Amino acid sequence: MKNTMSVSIVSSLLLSGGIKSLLSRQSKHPNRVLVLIQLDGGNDGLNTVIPLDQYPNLIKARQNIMINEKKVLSLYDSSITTLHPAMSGVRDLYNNKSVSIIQNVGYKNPDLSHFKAIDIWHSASAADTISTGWLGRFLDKGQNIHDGLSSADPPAIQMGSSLTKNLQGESMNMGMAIKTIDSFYDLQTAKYEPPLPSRLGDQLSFLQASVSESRKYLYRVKEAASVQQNQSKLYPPPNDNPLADQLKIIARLIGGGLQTKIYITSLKGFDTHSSQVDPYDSSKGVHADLLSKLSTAIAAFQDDLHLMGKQEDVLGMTYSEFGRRIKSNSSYGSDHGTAAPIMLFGSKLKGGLIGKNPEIASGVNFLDNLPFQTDFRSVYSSILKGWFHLPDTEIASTVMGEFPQLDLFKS
Amino acid sequence: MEKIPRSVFLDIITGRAALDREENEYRKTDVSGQRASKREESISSGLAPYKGAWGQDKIMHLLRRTLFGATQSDYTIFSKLDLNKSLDLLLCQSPDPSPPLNAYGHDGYTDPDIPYGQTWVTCDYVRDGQLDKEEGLLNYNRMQSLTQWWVSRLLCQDSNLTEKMTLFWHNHMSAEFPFIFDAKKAYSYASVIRLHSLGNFKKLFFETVTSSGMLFYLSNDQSTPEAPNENLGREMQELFAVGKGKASGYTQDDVMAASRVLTGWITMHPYGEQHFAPERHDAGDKTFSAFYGNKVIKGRTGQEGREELDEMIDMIFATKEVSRHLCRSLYRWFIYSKIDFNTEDNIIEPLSDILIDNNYEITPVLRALLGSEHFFDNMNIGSQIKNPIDYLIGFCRQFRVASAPSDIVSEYQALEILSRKLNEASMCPGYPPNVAGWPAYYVSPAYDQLWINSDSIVSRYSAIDSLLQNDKLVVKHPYTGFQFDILTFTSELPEPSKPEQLVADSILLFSPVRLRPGQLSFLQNILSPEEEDDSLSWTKAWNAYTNDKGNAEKKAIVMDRLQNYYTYALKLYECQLM
Repeated sequence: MKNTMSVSIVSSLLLSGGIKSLLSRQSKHPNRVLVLIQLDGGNDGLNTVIPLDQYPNLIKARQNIMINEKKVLSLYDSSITTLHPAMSGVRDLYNNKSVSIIQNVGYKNPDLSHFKAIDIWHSASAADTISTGWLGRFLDKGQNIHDGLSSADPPAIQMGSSLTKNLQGESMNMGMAIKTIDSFYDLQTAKYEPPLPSRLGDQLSFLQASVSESRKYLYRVKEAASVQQNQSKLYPPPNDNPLADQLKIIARLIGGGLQTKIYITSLKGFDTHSSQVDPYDSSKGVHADLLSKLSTAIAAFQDDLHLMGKQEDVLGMTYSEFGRRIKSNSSYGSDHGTAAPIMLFGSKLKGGLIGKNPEIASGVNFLDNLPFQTDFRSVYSSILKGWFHLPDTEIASTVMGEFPQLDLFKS
Repeated sequence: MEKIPRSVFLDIITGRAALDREENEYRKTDVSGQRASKREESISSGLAPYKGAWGQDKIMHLLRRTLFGATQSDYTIFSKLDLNKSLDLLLCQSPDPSPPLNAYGHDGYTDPDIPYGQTWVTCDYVRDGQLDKEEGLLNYNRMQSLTQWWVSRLLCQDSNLTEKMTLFWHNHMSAEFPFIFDAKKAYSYASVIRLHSLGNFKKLFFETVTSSGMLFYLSNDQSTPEAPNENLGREMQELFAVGKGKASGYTQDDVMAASRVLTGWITMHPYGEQHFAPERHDAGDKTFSAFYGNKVIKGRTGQEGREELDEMIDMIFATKEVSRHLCRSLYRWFIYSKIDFNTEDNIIEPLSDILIDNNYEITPVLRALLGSEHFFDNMNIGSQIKNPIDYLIGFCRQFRVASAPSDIVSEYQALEILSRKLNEASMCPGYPPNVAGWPAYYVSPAYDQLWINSDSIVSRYSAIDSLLQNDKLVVKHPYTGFQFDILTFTSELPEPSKPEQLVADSILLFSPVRLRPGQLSFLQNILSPEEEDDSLSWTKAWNAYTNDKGNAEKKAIVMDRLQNYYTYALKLYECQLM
């Protein structure tokens, strides 16, 4: 018993020594982080980034869900592109040049199925179904992202209890799932005997590797979570805004020195086939609530990063499997669509609008959809190159092709 | 048998020694090198009826895949039957269960429609149906009652496929309780998939699509001829019927045409039964694509408008892809996640023919699949990771949780706790993540490996921990029976006094894997820590207890050892498989 105790004490001393060296290493080579926010269900881009110059035709197509032009939020550098009234947090960040909005992002021959479409966004492969995700392939490249990355830290963290395909690497999913950092379960690994080759054997090997990795990462997350204590006052109370709750956890881990490169979180509820807006006030309703949560969460998160001095190290991005139909339906909602805007947030961005307003024809019918201007893989490529400094030779294989680069970042 | 000193054994059990070893190991290991890649082990066996040896391992394989937590008595019953008679028993549909009750009205809350202790599923609406806080609270209570009731169906299942197939249909044609809002509508969906779970797929399809729950969930009751809502028309084809495999060719125009056929199928506003309203139906002709033979469904007015849906279902089901899509789902559910070319040719194709030849009756297909050489192929034994319901409900059923409630309040409270644990572990009936069901059944390449990650494994293990000890969560009416009854479970094993037998027989019920000698002796040592010292032997302790069951001290000794044993055993990797 005595021996065991003293070994434990030595181990914990080693661990805290480990953190100190990580933090000092980190200040020389800042660890760049990407935070992804999946807008789950298909975000209605036309009511998020609102093209004022298209109003006459928009009214004809989707009068029952249109936002009143007097209520939209203006952007400092545009008279024709505006934001949904619920997004004042994002608008303020935009006017502070910490937000870039890329209009009409999509791809050729878009799929209108949630599941096929999200597979395309996650794998970056529109033609064939492949087994890996773009971030999984990126993280598999390992060496290129080693500025400060300790192999003891999870390469990617996904908030929640499931892992999505964008993190799927060649041999395993690169993400660690966490729901909360306040409780800690001391995961023990069971006695393991290497099995025979077989389906059963493969499953056992997977289980053993998964549990032992989870265990080591849980310890690291616990350590990092205990470092950062004070956070921004802009976060709403717990449970009021699940996205804000999750971004708060992410900020805490970043502040605590965790060297994780990718964080993924999501906001559900964007599949607004019906009741997208309140029938009596189109600036309110389900979509407005979601955008308000999104905007508040992003604003609090950015504030928190500033307080920690980490605002230059973190880039955020929203994405969705598709936008929604130009023409609304009779349920005060809209059906699945195609191209939609992506919003990026972070202090190292140049900021501003990329791409033009979509053009809405005069007589839109039910099956008409928005054509894309920017391929989503251009956004991926630009982040891989401009943010993570992935060498040019590695980019095409990560995003499954060559796509034009966007000029997103300050030097 | 290995001798392990008690101090070392205690270190291992409490994790101290393991901790120290792991600390040193994890620093050296590189993350990406640890995983074995999933090898594509192909199997050539097909649908020919299995005629091989019918022993312990094959019997338990069948029971593991068809029941949630086969018990010792299940094993005893089935071991006396041959494969065909076993299938006969498994393919029996259980009678319709009695419906969920108002167990929530005991403590200050009054259901405006029915008194405490009665069912709410058939009550009439006596209010004016305002969508307000009161309705919200009422439906919240009833929805919980519905979820708890479903969990009790899982726990108390008969030894047949009814519950497993009900859950299968719930995954294949998913709906989410929170987005149905009204508990009566949710019940209509939940009861329809149970009623037809071993019946006819085409009939089930019609009943499910037109259930008030599904019509509300997929926004159909707000769809109008002027601006049809595509939700149901799309998901019905993409997920429930044809799928999105290579041979699936329905188009966006088909989605629109289907949505138009479905107009008029609504629920009485704002809550109510399903209903066909001719005035809400688009009575124009609907043209479908070449995939559906360019069929034109003639528009009909009045109540004849309903017939368009029958005609459309006939049209959709005339494509072989419907049968293939269902058979692939059944394969993933019962056998293995990956479907390679061999499986597609040897199993899926002929199985889809069987479904079509039997007019979409499900039992002939299940009989063929579950009685086949392929199903019993050694490669498929232990090839699946248990889903959270298999894992948690399986153990709950084996260890008799919530099986003898004293009153409905205690019973429903216990079920509420269980349903929360299932939710934590990401699989509670009524709460799939979206309309496509659970990702483990369709997201490649990981499939059922998606059940296991750093969060979900913690949820599984902490659920086991709390069920092994007396659950200390706040329960309004403390129900002392809410934990695993490890004594009764152990007593029912064939030879519980002998540690080797106890371990072997219990592991047989938990796992498809034959443990190695090293693992077995480790487990036996938990029961009998020091072989030399006879006074601590398991056999002595067990016999002492069984000869004097009233003696608290003797009971405490065996309980202590059994707790340690099951705490370790249930978390073995091997027990995550089935």
